[in-house]
Amino acid sequence: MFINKKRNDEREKMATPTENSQPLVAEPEPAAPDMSMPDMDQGYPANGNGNGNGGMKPAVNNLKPSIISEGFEFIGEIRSNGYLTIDGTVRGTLSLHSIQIGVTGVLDGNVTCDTMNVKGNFAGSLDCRDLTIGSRAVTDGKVSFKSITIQRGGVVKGELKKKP
Amino acid sequence: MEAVLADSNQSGCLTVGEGVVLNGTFVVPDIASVSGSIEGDITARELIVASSGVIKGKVTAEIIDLRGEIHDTLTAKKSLFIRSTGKALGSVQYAEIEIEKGGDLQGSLQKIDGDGPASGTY
Repeated sequence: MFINKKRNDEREKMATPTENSQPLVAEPEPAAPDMSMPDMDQGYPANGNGNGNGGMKPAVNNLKPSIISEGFEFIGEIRSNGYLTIDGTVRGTLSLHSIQIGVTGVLDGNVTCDTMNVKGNFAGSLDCRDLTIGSRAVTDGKVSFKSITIQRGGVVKGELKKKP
Repeated sequence: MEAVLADSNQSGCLTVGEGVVLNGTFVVPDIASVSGSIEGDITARELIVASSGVIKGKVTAEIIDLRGEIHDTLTAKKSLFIRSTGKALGSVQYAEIEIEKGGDLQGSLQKIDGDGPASGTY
């Protein structure tokens, strides 16, 4: 009888994970950050070689990445010393340590950051140290950088300027 | 690789050795391999600029492999490959581009419609 009751409880937990996540404070946000972590490590080379990042404060290591998911549109200003992954749409002014624009991501605006990794679409003005443009990326606008990598197939339009 | 390409088929090729300085307009039907310095316009099917090579002028080629420097105007009808020591400054037109980390690309960029990728797929 007792065992059966316990089993039922477990079954309920599995059936309604979102409701049960509330009291389980010991495991904060289990699904989303875990899923994005492998991609994250590839996306932010500054994570490994944090030397000489243009006078910018290094990213706080325990800062969790923020994610603008696919289908999510944000208009406004973002300021952080951490990581931002954009799979949705962001329009506005951004000041961050690292930005990754995913394949589905669109970023339109004025951006200042240390590390930028574009796999999706970028338009506007960008000031960064380390810029990586992926093979399916489209970048349009005024870009200034210290180091640039363009993978084969990446499209870059506009003005490019290298900072000393 | 560039030496092999230039040696195996010399017809239609131009090789500018290190320390050589050329001025003028050059039309190269096949491969132009530049280790020296060129001032002027150059048109080639394939242009290979070694790390000691410097070209100042209007440069047009289907394929450009850049380890040295190109200043002014650069048009790559098929593909532009800037290696880590490569430097492209000025007005750049390309159908397909790739830059290694450390490569330098500055100026205005424009993508043109090429005849298709030089090799491989996107």
